[in-house]
Amino acid sequence: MTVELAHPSTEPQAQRSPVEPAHPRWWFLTTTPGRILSFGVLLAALGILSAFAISTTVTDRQQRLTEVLEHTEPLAFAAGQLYTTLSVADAAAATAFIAGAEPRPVRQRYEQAITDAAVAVTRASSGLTDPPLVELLGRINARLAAYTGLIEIARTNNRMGNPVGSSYLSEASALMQQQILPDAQQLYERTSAQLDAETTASAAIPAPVIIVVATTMGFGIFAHRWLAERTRRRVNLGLFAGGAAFLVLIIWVGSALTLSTVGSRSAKNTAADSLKIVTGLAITAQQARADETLSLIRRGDEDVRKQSFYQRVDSMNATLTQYLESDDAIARDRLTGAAGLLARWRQADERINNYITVGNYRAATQVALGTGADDSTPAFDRLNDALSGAIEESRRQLRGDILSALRVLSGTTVGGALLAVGAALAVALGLAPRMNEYR
Amino acid sequence: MDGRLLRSGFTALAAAVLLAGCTEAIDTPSPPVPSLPPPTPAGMEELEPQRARPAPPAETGCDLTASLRPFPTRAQADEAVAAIRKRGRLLVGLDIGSNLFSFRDPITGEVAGFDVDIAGEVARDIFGNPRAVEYRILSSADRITALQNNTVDIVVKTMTITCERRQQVSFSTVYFTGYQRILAPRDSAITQPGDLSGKRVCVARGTTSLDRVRQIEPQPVIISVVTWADCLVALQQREVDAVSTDDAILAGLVAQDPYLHIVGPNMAEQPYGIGLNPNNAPLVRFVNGTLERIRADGTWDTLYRKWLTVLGPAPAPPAPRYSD
Repeated sequence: MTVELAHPSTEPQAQRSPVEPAHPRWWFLTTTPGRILSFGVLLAALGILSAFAISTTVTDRQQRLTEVLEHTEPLAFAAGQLYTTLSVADAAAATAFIAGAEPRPVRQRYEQAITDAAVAVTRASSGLTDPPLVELLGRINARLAAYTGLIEIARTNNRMGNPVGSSYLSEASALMQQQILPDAQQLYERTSAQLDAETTASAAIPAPVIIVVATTMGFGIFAHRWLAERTRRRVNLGLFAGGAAFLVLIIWVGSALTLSTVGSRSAKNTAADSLKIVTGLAITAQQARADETLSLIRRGDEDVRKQSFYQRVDSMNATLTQYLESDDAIARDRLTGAAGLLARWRQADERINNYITVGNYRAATQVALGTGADDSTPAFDRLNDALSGAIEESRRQLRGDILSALRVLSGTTVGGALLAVGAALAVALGLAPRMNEYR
Repeated sequence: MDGRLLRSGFTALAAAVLLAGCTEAIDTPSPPVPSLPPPTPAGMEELEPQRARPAPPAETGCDLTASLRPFPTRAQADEAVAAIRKRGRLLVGLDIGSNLFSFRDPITGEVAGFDVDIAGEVARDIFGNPRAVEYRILSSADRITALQNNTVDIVVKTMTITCERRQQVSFSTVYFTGYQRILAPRDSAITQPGDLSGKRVCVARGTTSLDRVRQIEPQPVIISVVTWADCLVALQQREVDAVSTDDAILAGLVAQDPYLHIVGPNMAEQPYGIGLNPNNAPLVRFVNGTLERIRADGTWDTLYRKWLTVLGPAPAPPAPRYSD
């Protein structure tokens, strides 16, 4: 028996490579069902992207506005208050000194001003995180403590009849005018610039959201048309529902963002600017008052102080006129009488200078500190009250604008995300039956 | 889909990140504690070390204390002050930081002192009223310019007559003689000028005391201030170790601080004169007339006893010297 063994060389070799398919796998994407699928996926992805863009933009804006409302604005306000209260304290100390035996109301005014300044330091310190600003405020606080000490040394010497008290007062005043107040002014300017920057940022047009949403919308419309041509169904209910949801989203979030931006713009362009101008006026008024009272201490710098007083009053006049002429003068009502008060103050100061020129310091002091109708204290006090009122009003407007900018955004994050995901779902549901037709 | 859930998730994540950050931050040192320079008297500054000026040769080069003789007749004197009389006030330059000579009396708020009363006597001779005076507050450094610009009629402000100043302004006869000494805390080792070397010494700007302190070798560190009262502040705040100027001014500072004492020998004699405009010789004669009167009628003695008894019993008033 012979065993017929197939010769290995004649045995047909096993087919090792599979048959080449007719098309590569990605070919599926060029087929109609493939296209429907990819359009669906793309649309859903764009919908999710829109939801993401909307929610991040809105959340970001909400955070910014909350930050302004809870941190930046109160900080800038506290810094402005700090400057004016410190200034009031110095003027009150000088006043107490030239008033002789320090009458009770004069003493009380100084003590109240120091209390106010200490409170303002505390307010300004809460929420201050920027290291240079923290350092600035730390310096102010440390020097304020030194300042009150010097004032008390001056008082004690004064009461003991030691003329050196006047040198201590000068030292204290120089400390306040040359070191503490410039620091306070810097703190105010920096925090106010921060407020500016943050309100400006929240008033920007949210370009990325607009681009993403417009792309999604455009692609949706294109997909719908393409599908209508291919499937001879005019309306795809899913795509239509998705589009409708998207439209609601656009109208809702769009109008909310628009209103919010408008609110922020108003806060920035009218309220914040008004607040800045009026706070600047209040600071200049305090500086002019310091020039007036400190010239009565008589250290030989009376002429310089006189010049500086007139310069400050002139600059206040110019700023005030410009402010009242602008359309955005929020506190116009409160400041309409301010020019008159400035003029009266200036007249009173001229009387002070006339008395100083003839060497009658007692009469000059009387005009500076007296409460008569023509004296300078009532004019200054009323001007200061008007400015404080204007600051309060600008501030209320600013916070109101920001609050309404914040309010219109509430709910848009959640609602926007829901609508966008809903739209994506509707698209998927609308496309699935079309896909199935090709199985 | 719940925004709150999402947010809380984010918060947890953020907290985790923060915590991770914190564990790293624990090792970082606490923020540096800032140190601030202590407050100092307004306008205080440390002067650059300067070559000691040799004893000014000019001191011998002029007839230091000689001034113009008073008018012999009342009519001439009246004519000399006609312009001032018309104005109604005598403009007097002084400061308010030189206790006993001119300072602001804290109780009355008025400027008072020996110099103020001398100026009042001049006003009395012009107007018959010692209060017809208007004070211009000058720092020591501004005295000469104020006279040259006619901002003031007279400067009565512990102004030492020097040959250098005589070239710029006129002086009356001597109305007081001060002796430069040293003011130091009682607990300090400073007892004589040599002890001041390398120490911080306070002087008012634009005064002759400054020149004398610069002659000490090796030089002290000179801290200059606006008024002598500022030197007391600097001393009390331990910014300086000593003050050096005329005993009369130093006595005014000691009177306000019992922890200080005046030490050392007389370093320089300082004849005080009333400063006047260089081109107003008639006024010089008029003022010398007033000084002549108060020396003769006992007013000088009264004023000395009113203000300067801390310096000891009243000496005879400085004798006038006239150049013509």
